[in-house]
Parts: sequence; C-alpha cells; structure tokens
Amino acid sequence: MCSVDPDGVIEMTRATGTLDISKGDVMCRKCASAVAEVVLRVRDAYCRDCFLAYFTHKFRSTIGKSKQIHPGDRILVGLSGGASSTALLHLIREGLQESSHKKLRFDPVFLYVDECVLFGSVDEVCDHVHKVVEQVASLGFQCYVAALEQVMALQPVLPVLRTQEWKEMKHTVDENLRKKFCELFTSCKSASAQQDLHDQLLQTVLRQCAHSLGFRKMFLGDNSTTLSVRILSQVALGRGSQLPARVHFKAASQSVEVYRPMRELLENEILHYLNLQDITVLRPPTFQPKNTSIASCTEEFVRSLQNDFPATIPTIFRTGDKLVSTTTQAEKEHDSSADSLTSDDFCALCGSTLDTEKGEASALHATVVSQKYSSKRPQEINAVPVQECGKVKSDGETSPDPGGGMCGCAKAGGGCSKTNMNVDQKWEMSKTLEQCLCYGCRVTLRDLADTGLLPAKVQATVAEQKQRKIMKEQIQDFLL
Amino acid sequence: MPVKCTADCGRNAVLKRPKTGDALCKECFFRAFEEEVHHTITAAKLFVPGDYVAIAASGGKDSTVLAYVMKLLNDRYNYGLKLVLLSVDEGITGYRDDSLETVKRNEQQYGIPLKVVSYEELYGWTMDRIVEQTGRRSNCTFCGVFRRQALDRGAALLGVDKIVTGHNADDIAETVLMNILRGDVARLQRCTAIVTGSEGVISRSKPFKYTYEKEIVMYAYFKRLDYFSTECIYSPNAYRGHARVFLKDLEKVRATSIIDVIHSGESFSVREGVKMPTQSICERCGHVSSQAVCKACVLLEGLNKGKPRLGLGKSSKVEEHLARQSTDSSGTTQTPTDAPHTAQPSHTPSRSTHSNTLRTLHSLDF
Repeated sequence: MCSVDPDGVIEMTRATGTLDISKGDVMCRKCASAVAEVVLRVRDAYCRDCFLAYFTHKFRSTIGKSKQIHPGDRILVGLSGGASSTALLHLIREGLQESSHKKLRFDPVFLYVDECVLFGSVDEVCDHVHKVVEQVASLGFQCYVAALEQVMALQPVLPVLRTQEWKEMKHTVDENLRKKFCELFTSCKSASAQQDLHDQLLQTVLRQCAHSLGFRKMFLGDNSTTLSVRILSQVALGRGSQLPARVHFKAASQSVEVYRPMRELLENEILHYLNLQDITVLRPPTFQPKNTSIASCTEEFVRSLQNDFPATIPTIFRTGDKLVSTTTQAEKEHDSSADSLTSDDFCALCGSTLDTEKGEASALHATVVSQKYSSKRPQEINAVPVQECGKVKSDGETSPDPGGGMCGCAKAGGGCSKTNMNVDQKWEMSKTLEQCLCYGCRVTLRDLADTGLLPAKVQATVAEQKQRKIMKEQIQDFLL
Repeated sequence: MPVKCTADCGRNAVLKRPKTGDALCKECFFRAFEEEVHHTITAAKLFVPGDYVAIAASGGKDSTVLAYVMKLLNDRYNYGLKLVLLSVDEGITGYRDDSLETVKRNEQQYGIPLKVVSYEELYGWTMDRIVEQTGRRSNCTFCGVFRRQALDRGAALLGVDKIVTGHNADDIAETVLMNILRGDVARLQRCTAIVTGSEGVISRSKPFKYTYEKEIVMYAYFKRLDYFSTECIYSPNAYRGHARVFLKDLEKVRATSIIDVIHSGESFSVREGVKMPTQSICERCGHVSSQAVCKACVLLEGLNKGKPRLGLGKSSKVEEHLARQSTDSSGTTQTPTDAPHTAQPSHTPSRSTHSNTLRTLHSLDF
C-alpha cells in the first residue's frame, strides 16, 4: 500500500518521462550558467563541471565521513576491470593528486583476479588481464594478479606483482588447480549454485590475497545499483545474515576489513563520469550461466522495477543500510571478549558467521522437519520419530530411522551391504560438512553432485572443526 | 513403472511435494502436512490448554484448510482449545458475499461456531462504496487497515484469548520482499514473527508460517475440502503484486527459495539508532496506534468529510485537518464535534443510518 511518511515509507510513484536535454537548451540546475550535459534522477540536469564536482565529492565524502581510512594506510584495491572498478581507479588517482586539504592520503595497491578459468582457454579472454595491468600501470600504480583457481589449493598462493616487462611473458598456470576448479563447477546441478559458488570463491580469493600480502584494509568497487541487486539476491539465497558484511561501507571479516567507497554512486552516474572523462571501459568477460539463476532473476526484476518506479534502487539500498544481523547483535549484548567468536563459529565455505543456531521455531528447523517426514534419507533429529527402527551404521552407532529407507537399492528390493556402507560414509561426510556451513552454503551444497570436489582448504577446515568439536565435548564439564 | 512413495511406506506415489520435491502417496502427504503444522505449533508454543481461539476465516483456501487442520490437531493431540470461526464482511459484492457462504458451510461441516462482523456495522461504509469514493488505486489500504481492526473488535466481542490467521509461507516471504522494496524497516522486523501483538491487543499467530501455498491447495484438493477461490475484484493494482511475481519466479528457479527468504528475514534486525515508530493509543477510539490518531480513524474521517485521500497522502495534511477540526468545534457549531464517546449523526449527507465515527472498544454493543 502507498502509505505516509511517519514510518519512513517511500510512496512508490510511477516514472514520468525523462527530461530531454538533447536540444541543448536546458541549463544546469546548480550553477544555472552552463548548458546541462547530464540528467540524473529522471529530471535533474547538471552541467559537466557541477556533475564532476558532485560525483567526486560523493566519493570522497563516503570515505571521509566514515573516519576509518587514515593517512598512510596501505590499501589493496580489488579491480574487476568493469565500469565501477575503472572509475574507482581514476577517482583514487585524482584524489591522490589533489593538492588541497581534500587530498586522499593512503597508499593504494591494486589487485586483479584473473577469472579466465571459467571460460576455457580462450586467448582473447585471457588477454584481458594484460589490458587491466596496463591500465593500472599507466596511471603509475602497482598491480598484483591472482588466479581464481588458486582457491582450490591448500596453501594460499601469493599473488604475483605484474610489471611492464612482464607483458611478453605468459603467466604461469597451474593446470592441476584449473582442472579441479572446472570439475567443481561442472558438478553443480543448478545455475544458482554455480553463481553462488563463484561469488563465494571470489570473495575467498580476495581475502586470501589481502592476507598473504599483508594488507589489513581492502577497497571494492561495488556501486549502489549492484548493491541493491545484491541485497535482494542475498535475501533470496537465504544469506540474510551476511547482508551487512556484503553491503555496508565497512565489513570486518576475520583478518581483513573490506570497504566499499563507491557504494553511494549509482551505475548510471558512473557511466556518465567515464563518458565525460573520456575513459575507455574494458569489457571484462562476465560469468553468466546459461540457465536462470536466483541472482539473474533478481537482477532482471530490480532493473525492470526501477524503470517503472525510479525510487526502487535508492530505497532498497537505504533499507539494506539499516539492517544488521541478529547473531552479531546478540553477541554484542552478551559479552565483549575477543575470544567469544572462536573459529568454530565461521562457515567453512564462505567464512561468515554461522546463522544456524536458531532454535526449534525457525525456518531452518522447519526444513529439517520437512525432510524427516518426506525424504528417504534418515535425519538425526531430537524430535520423536514416527517409526523407530534401529539402523547400524558403519562405525557401530545406532540411529533412529524415521520411516525412511537408507539405500537407493531399497527401491529395487535387494539389499547390498557394501553399497550401504559407501552410501553411509558419504552421507556421514556430507552431514558433518553441513554442520560446518551457514544456511546459504547448505542450500548451495545440496546442488553439488559430489561434495568431495570442494576446495582442499574447505575440507581441511571441516576436518579441523570436527576434531575441535570432539575435543570440546571431552572437556565440556570443565569449561566455564 | 509406478514410483514408490519416498517415505518408504510401500505405497505408490501419487504426487510430488512442492516443498521438497519428494514423491509421496496421499496418506504420507497428509501426515507430513499435518505433522509439520503440529510441529510449528508446539515448537513456537502458540497455545496453552484452555485457550479460546478465534480462527480468522475468509472462506478462501488458507482459512478453510486452517479451520480443518486446527480442528483435526486439536482432537488428535488434545490441545484443549475451544475454537470459533471469525469472519469479516467487507461489503464487496460478487466476492465477499460468495465467500461468506463458504464460511457458513464450513461452520456446518466442521462443527465450529461462526461469528461475522461487517464494515457496515463497524464503520458505516462498505468497500464498494469506498471504492466509489477513492477509485481503485488505494482501496487495498482501506480494506487492510479496516480489516485488521475489524478482526480485533470481533475477537474482543467474543472474548477470545488468541487469534490465528491463515498466512502461509508465500505470504510471509512476499511481505519480507515487499517491505525491503518499500523501505519499511519497522514492519520488516516484525513480519517474520510467528506471533504478533503487544500490550492490550489480542495476539495473533500464524500456524501456516512454514507451509507452502501450493501444498495447502494440494491438501484441500486431495481431502476434497470446499473453498472459494476467486481473486478480490479490486486487487490487481496493488504494489504487492510486484513482490508476488518476483517470488513466483524465484520459486520456479529453486523451490526452497520461499523458506530461504523467510530464513533471511529471521536473520536480520534493525541497526541501533534508526528511528522507529513508538506505540501508543489512538485518542479517538482507544485502539493501538503508532500515531496520536489511528489510521482507521484518519481514513474514516477522510471518507466522512468528503476527502477520501486524507489518510493516503502526507501526514502533515492529516495534522492540518485535525487541527482545523478542533478550532472549528470551539468556534461555530456548523461542523459537528468529534467527541469519541457520544454517537452523534453527522450533518453532512450520510448514506448510512449508523454513526460514522468509531466508538471506543468499551462502548461497543451489538
């Protein structure tokens, strides 16, 4: 319903026609002395200088008002090569060259994550990395390059510093890691799982690089438009608890603080900026699975709604800003000791705080209950099972089997204990794995044909957490 | 070759469950459906034995199935509840009068007593007449606000302890999405709660919170339950429609996305420092309100004074109007005073013989 302001609710009005400035007769609304060249927000016309001033001011004030970036800070800036990243690169350079007191004072170093593993070994795609490095170097900055497939390695790989001379060398490719990565991706049964996995792995690589290069702070070029789409798609994926970490200006995760200085700039504003400054945008190859995924469905929805209701993206963005995760709120209230968040409380795949301690009256528990009553796989639940029949597992434990058959060959009517054992072990492994993942990652996990293909680091983390859980149980009575 | 039921009961499967995709036979599906609702009720501790519970019944699929399942579970698990059906007549010809017939049939079929309250009695306006005044754009606002209060007043009349409504998982997921799109953080925080209500208001709960709409239809179909299934004739233009289409698309991509959205909704709360509306009581009718005068009174005021868009635009206009009312009443006697406790007929040409201002909860007598 379209209701009034006391709740801060925005009245959704339909879009009227955009202001037409092509005839060159509309004056800038700010200085009223120059001809307008840019239209923002449907009807606001700006001249070139006023627009550039507005744009750069927004960027600097986002950084300045947060008071989180101090002079001399070493910051790793993640680039994708797209419009937002390119604008970020140029804004940083302008800001550093500024001679007034508004000069930006930090030391940026740039990082590009090479994703050509996703596209096979097409040469022109792999040449993109050269172009990006060139662009960064031409502005006088250092650029590191990391490969997406390095997330599959057990030990983090140090990103390589690319220099001008390197242009002639082909960068080394670890074929083994590439193969593992491709296997993992092809084992995804749905496009949504692929896209989500890609997103999480990319974030992991960025964090790993920052950590191994010794940076505490990182900039990412997310703009308002992509963040609004992300807010809705994260909600749709069940990752609502991670919303603050992916959307707010500052997000502290484990050892790196991630900042998003472009967050208040809309996509069309960025395009105007690049256009006015005559900056060419390299077109990075973007990963687009063929079928519809949750993320692509959301993006389409937001963009089409934005056409009809121009207040959509700003509203979604502002809403996202006001939200925090319930788990972190609760922890803040309970204790303030730094040890309260042990490594056992983080998801093994995406590294975010676990949001699965929800109690019995929750959506999470409801899905567990549903599976219990209709699925063929037995679940370990504390509720009263409807049919009790003990089932001996491979390691000798009995577990109640609530009316579900265990083995696929129950259908065929024959029992084969050997297959039972293997299915048992696999099921046991995926159960353990599931306990170490957040809700969103569990949903993605269901779409993976073979969980053994997950990155080695993830599996190592799971094994470690399992071990710690056993240790904790042993000393449970003595923990205060 | 017939597929076997995956709950391993040996029977052939006759349906594929929308929620999990498993193939189930009829009996196992019924059991799964009922047990899940039972689990929702017990885990959230919705009732205590001896509660007098009103089931908000519209005659649609959710409320029909809700009435059926509540009665079934109450008997099977001895909740010890006394049940009553509570129905609201908005006065929409061709829609509400038909669905009310369904509710009356339900009364007979399930053996649960029925009470009907109407907008005509409570407010002096039917939805048909409201739409004539305001057009089709914001009629859902009127209906929604009035219905919420109508349910509360009906429940107060009956003296019930709790109300249950048939909101299902799709509704809640849709509400989460819609509140994000509209920027309504206050509602966003409340909408995933299974029990809503506060001091002085009868609490309402949603036993179908985790039940998919498709499964409710499937249950009704296989159990041959009788319900009325047409869209409200005034609904197509609501903004909620966009959120609904989006949710349906998400469901097509991945069936669990409805529950995923609800989980996300349960996982966030509002940051400290964000201004939120505080709760108080309406000066005029005593109902719970976040403003000095509750929304229903404001809307009604607008309708009665010939300014139907009063509650739908800027709050400043509402304040101006109300301020003018009080200065007028202290001056000339041409406009009637809006005394909350007396029921005076207004001087403006009225199409109803009832008073057009809301009486306080205490002075209602039907």
